[in-house]
Amino acid sequence: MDAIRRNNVQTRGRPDGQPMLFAHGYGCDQNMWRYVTPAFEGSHRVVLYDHVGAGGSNLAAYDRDKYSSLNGYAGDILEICDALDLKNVIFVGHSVAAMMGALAAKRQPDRFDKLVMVGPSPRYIDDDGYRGGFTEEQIDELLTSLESNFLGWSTQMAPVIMGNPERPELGEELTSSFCSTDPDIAAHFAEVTFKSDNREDLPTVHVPTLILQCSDDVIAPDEVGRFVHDALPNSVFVKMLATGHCPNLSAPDETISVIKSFL
Amino acid sequence: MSSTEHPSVVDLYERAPCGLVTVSRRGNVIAANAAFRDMVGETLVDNADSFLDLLRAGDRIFWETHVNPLLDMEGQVREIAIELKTEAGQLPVLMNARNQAPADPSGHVDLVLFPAADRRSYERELLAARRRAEISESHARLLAETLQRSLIPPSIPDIPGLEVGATYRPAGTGAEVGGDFYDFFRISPTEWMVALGDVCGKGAGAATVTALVRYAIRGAAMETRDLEEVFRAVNATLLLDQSNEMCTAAVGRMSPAADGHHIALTLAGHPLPLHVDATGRVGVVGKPGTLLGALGDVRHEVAQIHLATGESLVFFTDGVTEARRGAQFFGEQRLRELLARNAEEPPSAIAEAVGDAVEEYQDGALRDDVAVVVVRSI
Repeated sequence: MDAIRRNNVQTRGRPDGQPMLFAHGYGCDQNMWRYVTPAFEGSHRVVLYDHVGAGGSNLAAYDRDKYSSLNGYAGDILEICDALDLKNVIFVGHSVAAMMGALAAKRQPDRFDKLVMVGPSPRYIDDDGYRGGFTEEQIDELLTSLESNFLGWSTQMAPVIMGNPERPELGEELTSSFCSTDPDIAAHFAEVTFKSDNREDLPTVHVPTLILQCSDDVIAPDEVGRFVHDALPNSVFVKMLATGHCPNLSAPDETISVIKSFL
Repeated sequence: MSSTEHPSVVDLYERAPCGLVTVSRRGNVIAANAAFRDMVGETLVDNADSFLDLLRAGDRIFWETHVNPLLDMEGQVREIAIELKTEAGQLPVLMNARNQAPADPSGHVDLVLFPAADRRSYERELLAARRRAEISESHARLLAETLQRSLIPPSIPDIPGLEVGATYRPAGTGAEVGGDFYDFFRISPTEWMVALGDVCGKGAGAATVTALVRYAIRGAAMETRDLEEVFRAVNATLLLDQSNEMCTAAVGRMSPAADGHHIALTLAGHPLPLHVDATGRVGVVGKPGTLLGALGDVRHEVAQIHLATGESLVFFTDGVTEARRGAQFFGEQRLRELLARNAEEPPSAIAEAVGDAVEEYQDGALRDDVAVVVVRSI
């Protein structure tokens, strides 16, 4: 299956502009960027996509082995770049997608002009001498919480999709709704995301990088953003006024202006 | 009822049978009713900077990654299962929330919180039961697959002068063992036997009979070169077995001959194999014979076939020809056309092409097992 359909890739803005590839984080889909991307459509070629398992992606393409590490998702970024022949890419990744971008840039540094990381974290779980903000037990709580909160999906949607393995397009339609997906995929993606550790990859990424750090981010706290800044050889750290983990929703104007001044 | 008996709006709000909380989009508590304060505890509510402080870490992540984006995009969420920190310990609740001004990031969100400890613990039990069921199912599937693999050779043997291909596709989702089998074994330094069959029925019971038939054929074929005698022995074995299962089978003895191979072929209630020459011409071979395991008196005939270099013999079970799409059968004609088209392909590719075509004909869901063996003289 080609990357364009698999990842529900959408292209907007100036066809001849420098490409900006926007990747959403854990939870919802490319709609997370809807307040931000219009500001770049006049000057750039804006490319949006859904991770496999999210939004309008093809659920049938969800391969547990491939997506058992963020590297599988990084591979998709490179495949999308290949499919659209994107060069000199500005990659904008929210939350866990920031690390997917770092891994993609590690593999093909020449493909990328700049990286923008919104609320990045290379490791969510505390470790010796490192504070990621969560204990392993708390991440397991999240997995239980997901299980309870996708009850509706599993009973209503799953039989329809499971009963028609030969017609994956049925699955696509049913799960196009924002923030909802197959509970097994949601749980697996959560586990892969929140148990990832990419601290050692960061020093190998030399692409100029902007780090957007929100105030009061419960998922990626200040010191995690600072860690990313210290570990990346070529990065700029900007502390935003915006609070929470989703400045692309809560403070699009500030997000846009910080990215614009970096570019 | 007189108007003086109506409770005031304030009373309704404060004493509602659920917690009512108004928060900012960041979760800062702007107002909370008395019922919520009682539920959580006055001190905890007063000391919490944000509603998120009353949640567990996992629920805070869920809030940021799902609830908050949904409140922005769809304006509301329903039946969100979270746990509140209360002075009396963790309290499972269900939450509905509505964003009063979706377009305005500084707008307010109203939350309704119902304690739901019993319902949630029941739900957890159901989830645990489902997980156990899923584990059992995957064990059963593994068992079925292992058993299934034991019914066909682990790999296709290397037979001098012949090129062999085979495919086996069990019906259904793989959770149940099928009754089809095929086998290759050597009976002398230069001669090989090919066997293919279909035991009626499915599941573990049929699988034991399939294994019985496969080994009865092997045992008998080592004892006698008389193929009718082989089938008589298998028939007697089945009649003595308590399972009462019946079986169709095709057995061929393959001996090298000048320009190709000589094949002695016997059939028991089994579809006639197809002979395909190098130009793609297709014809049936063999003589029909009695099903095994049904009657004491069985009749079988041996057909002598010369398989010249480049010619193939295609054995298959009725899962191929009797594959249905609505009222239509896949049928022998479709199979013949497929074989004619693929005559130049190697035997393994032909076997897979037949398997694929039958699966596709049934929209990917096989209703009966499919076994195909292709033997070509080279």
